[in-house]
Amino acid sequence: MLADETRNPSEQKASRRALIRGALGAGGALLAASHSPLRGGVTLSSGAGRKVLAKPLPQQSAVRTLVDRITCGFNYSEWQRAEALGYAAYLEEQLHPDQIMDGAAQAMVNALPSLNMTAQQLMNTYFGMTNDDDPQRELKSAVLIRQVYSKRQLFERMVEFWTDHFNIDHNKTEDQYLKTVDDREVIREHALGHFPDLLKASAHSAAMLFYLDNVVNVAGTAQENYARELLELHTLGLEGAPFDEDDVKVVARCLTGWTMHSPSVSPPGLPGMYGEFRYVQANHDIQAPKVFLGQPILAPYDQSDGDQVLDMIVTHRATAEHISRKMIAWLLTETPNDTLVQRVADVYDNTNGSIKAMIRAIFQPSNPGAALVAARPKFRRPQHLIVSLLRSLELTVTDWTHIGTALSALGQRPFDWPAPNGYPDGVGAWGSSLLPRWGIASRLIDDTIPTVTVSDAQLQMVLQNTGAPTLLGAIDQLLSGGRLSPQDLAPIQAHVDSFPTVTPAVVREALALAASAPSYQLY
Amino acid sequence: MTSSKNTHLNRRQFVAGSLATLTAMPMVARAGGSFSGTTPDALIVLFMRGGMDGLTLCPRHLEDDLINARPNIAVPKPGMGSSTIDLDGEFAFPVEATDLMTPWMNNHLAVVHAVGSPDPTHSHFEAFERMEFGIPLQPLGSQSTGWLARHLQDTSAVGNGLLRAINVDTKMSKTLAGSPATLPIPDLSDFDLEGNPMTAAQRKLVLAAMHGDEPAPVGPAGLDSIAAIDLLKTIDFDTFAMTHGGAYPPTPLGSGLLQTAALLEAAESDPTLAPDAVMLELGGWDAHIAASFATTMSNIVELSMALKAFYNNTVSLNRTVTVVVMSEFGRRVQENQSLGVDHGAGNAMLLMGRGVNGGLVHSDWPGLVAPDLEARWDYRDILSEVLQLRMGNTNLGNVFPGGYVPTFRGVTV
Repeated sequence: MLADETRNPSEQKASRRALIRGALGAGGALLAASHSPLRGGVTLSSGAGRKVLAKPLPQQSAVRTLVDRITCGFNYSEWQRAEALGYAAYLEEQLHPDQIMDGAAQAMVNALPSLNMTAQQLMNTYFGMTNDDDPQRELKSAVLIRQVYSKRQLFERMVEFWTDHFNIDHNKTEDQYLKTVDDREVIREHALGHFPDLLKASAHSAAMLFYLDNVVNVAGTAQENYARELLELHTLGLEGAPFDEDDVKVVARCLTGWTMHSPSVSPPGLPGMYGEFRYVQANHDIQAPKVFLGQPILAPYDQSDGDQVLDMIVTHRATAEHISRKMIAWLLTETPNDTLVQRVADVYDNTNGSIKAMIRAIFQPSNPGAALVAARPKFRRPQHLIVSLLRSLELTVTDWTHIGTALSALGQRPFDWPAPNGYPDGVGAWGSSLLPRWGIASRLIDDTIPTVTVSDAQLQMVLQNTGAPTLLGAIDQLLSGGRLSPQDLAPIQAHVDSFPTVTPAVVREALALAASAPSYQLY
Repeated sequence: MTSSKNTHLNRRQFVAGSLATLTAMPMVARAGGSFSGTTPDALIVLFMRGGMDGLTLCPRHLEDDLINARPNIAVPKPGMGSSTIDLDGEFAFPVEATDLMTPWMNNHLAVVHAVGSPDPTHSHFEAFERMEFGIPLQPLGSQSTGWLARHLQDTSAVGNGLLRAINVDTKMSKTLAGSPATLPIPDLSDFDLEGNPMTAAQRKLVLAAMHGDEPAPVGPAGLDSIAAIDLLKTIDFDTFAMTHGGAYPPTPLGSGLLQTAALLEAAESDPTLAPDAVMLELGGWDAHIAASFATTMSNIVELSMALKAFYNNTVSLNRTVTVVVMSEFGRRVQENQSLGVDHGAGNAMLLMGRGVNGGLVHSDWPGLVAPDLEARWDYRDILSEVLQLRMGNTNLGNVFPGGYVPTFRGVTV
C-alpha cells in the first residue's frame, strides 16, 4: 500500500508541480493571491448565527479521509459531525444503518409509490399504461435521493457497489419492473450483510435470471450466459481463475430450470405470482455426470445442483479474494495492495463473508496506508461528481428527471449500463471526458437546470458556514474540506480578482471552476 | 502520450497568457513511421461489443453444415425463394445486410472470415482487454495503452494534431487508452463551454492553467478539450445533418458516423481539421437467446444502413477513408436450447473504403467444426496490414508487441 501511494496521481502531480514552481517562480505570485481577503459583494463574516469551527481542522486527518471513502460525496457538515464522533465511532455508526434515523430521506422515497410494490403489483399497475416508465424513473430517482440525503451514507455507497457488481440493465424489457424488486430484496437487503446470502438472493432474483437469460436455460444444449458471469464476475473472478470452459458448461447445466413466473417464459396457469423464482424440474438437465471444479455434483439431479454450485463458490478462496479486491478498489484505491487483499479475504473466510467485517478490516487504522490514504486516489465517476455537488451545495431538487438526463449525457445514469460488469470505475474510462463535467458543474451552480435550484442566499450561507475568511478558502472548505490543490485555486483567484466586484455571479463562476478543477475530480 | 505532452500548454504559457497562446499551440510532430507519397487514410474503427455473430453476418452456404448446426436460426441459404444474397457462390449476406451491397458492388467492401484473436478466452471482458490492448497472448497488465493509441503515438498527425482521434462515446475505450490528443465525445455538434459566454474566453484560460501540469489522462484531456471546442466549432454539423442525415439510422452509431462524415468533409477544405482516427461502437451482439438473436438481426440492419450512408458520403473525398468493423469474438457454431448462440472464437471482420481489396471474402476457411469456428487468421494481421499499407506505420512491433510478425493477407489495395 505504501508503495502504491507513492505512485498515485496526486503525489506525482505534487512533485511535478514543485519542479515547475521552482523553475518558474511566477506560480508563487498566483499562490499568494489565493489567500487574499475576500472583497466585494459577498460577506463571509462569521456572524450569520451558524456555528463556525473554532479552529481549522487538520486537513489530512484520518476522519477527513474516511468521509471521502465511505460517503457518496463530501459534505462539510457531515465532516464536522464525523470529526466530533471520531474515526472509529463514525465508522461504526455507518456500519449500523438501522440505528441511524433517516426520516427525511425516507419520506422523500416514500413519495415514490412503485418502490415498495411486488413484481405482480408493478405489472398490474403499470403495464400498458401511459405512465409505464414510472418504475424505472422512480428507482433511478431513489438512487440519487438516497445518495444525496440519506444519513446512511456507507450503506448507500455499498448499495452502489453491489448494484454494479450484480449489474442489471433497466433497458432489458421486463427488468424495468423486476429491477425494482431486486434492488429492494437483493441489493439493499444484503448490502451490509453476508456475501453468500447476497449471492444466493441474486441467483434467485427474477431480475438477474431474466437479465442474464437463465429464465430460458433448459436441458439440451444448456445456455451459458448467467453461468459464465456468475463465475467470472459475481464470484471466482478472472484473476488466476480456477475454472475453465467445462466448469462454465456444467454450471449452466446445473442451473437449467432456474427461472421465474412470467407469461414470457413459463406456461400459463401455474401457481405463483409474476416475478417470483420458479424451478422447473422438467427443464432440468439430469444427465450424469456433473463435475464442477473437480468435485462431483451429487445426485439426485434437481434444484439442489444449483445450490451445491453456489455453496462451492461462496466458500472458494478465489471468491474471497475477488470480492475483497473489488471492495478495496471501490472503497480505497484503484490499485489494491496484495497484502491487504489477503488480509480482507481472510476476514471473509473467517466470518462467512461478512461484508461489515470486511469493511472494518479495510478501514483498520493499523493497515499500512489503508484508511490513511493521504491523497485522494480515486477519480469521481459522473454520478459521484453530481451527487457530491448536490451534497456540498445543498441544492434544492424538485424533480430528479433532469439530473437523470444530465447523468445520461455524462454516461452514467443509474441502471443503464448494458453489460453485466457494471459501470467502469477508474480514471482510464472516465478521465478524458472533462468538458461535460465542466458543463454540468456550470449548469448546477448557475441555477439553469429546471427543477434544480440554488439561491444566492443559499450559496452564501453554505460558504459562510465554513468559517473561512476568504472566498476561495470557503469554496475549498465547502467542496472538499480544504483539499483542493493550491495550483488549481490560484487561477480561480486570479479570475475572481479580474472583476471589480465579487458579485454573486462571480461567486457562482468561482464555484463552478473549482468543481471543474482536476483536484476536485479526485476523492 | 509522451509525444503529445510537449505540445500542451504549461503554466508559463498561462502566466504569459492570452487566448492566442492557446490556439497557437505547436502541432504534434514526431518521427516514426514516415509515410511518403500520399496522405494516410482516415481510419474508422467500429467495435461491435458483445461478440458479433460472423456466421450470421456472413454465412458460408457452400455446404449444409451451418444449417445443420443451427436448424432454427441459421440464415437461409440463397437460391430459389430465398432473399439471402449470394456473394461469390460460397458466402452470403442475409437480407438484413442488403445495404452492404452498395460498397460491395463497387469492390469497396471486403469480408475477412475465420479471423480473430489467438486468445482462447470466452469472457467478454478478458477478450476486450486482450484485443484492445493488443496483447492476445501476453500477460494481462503488460500493456495499459490501446493498439490504436500506440499507432497514433508512433505516427505524425495528418491535421494540426489538436484532435487526432475521437472516441464517439462518453468514455474512453481501451483501444484508445493513452492515445495522444484523443477525446471521448458523444456528440461532436454539442461540444462547447457552458456558462456565461462573456467570460468563456477567460474561463478557458483558468481551465487551461488548472490542467497544464496535471498528469495524463486528466491534464492532457483538459487542454485537448479546450482546443477541440474551437476546432469543432468551425464545422457546421447541423447543416450536414439536414442534407445528409436521412440516410443514416437514427441511432448513436448513425449519428456518430454522420458527424464523422461531416468532419471528414470539412477537413477536405481545411486540412488542419483532419482526424487520424475515429472509433465508434455498437453493442447488443450478445445473442444467447432467441430474443437477443433478434437484436443481432436488427443490429445487422443498423450497421449496414450506417455503413452504406457513410460510404456514400465519404467515397468521393480526396482523402481515402478506411473503415474496420471488428468484435471481441464470434459465437458458437451450434445453436443452444434457448435458440441463441453462446460465446465462440473465430469471426468475420469487415473492411470498407477505396483502399480496400473489396468485393471479396478473404478467408482460409477452416471448416465449420464445433464448438467454435477456428480463427485461422490473426486479427493483428488485418489491422497491421491496414496500419502499414494504408496509414504508413512501419513500427508495428510497438503496436502489437511481443515479437509478433504479422502476415499480410492482401485485404488492402
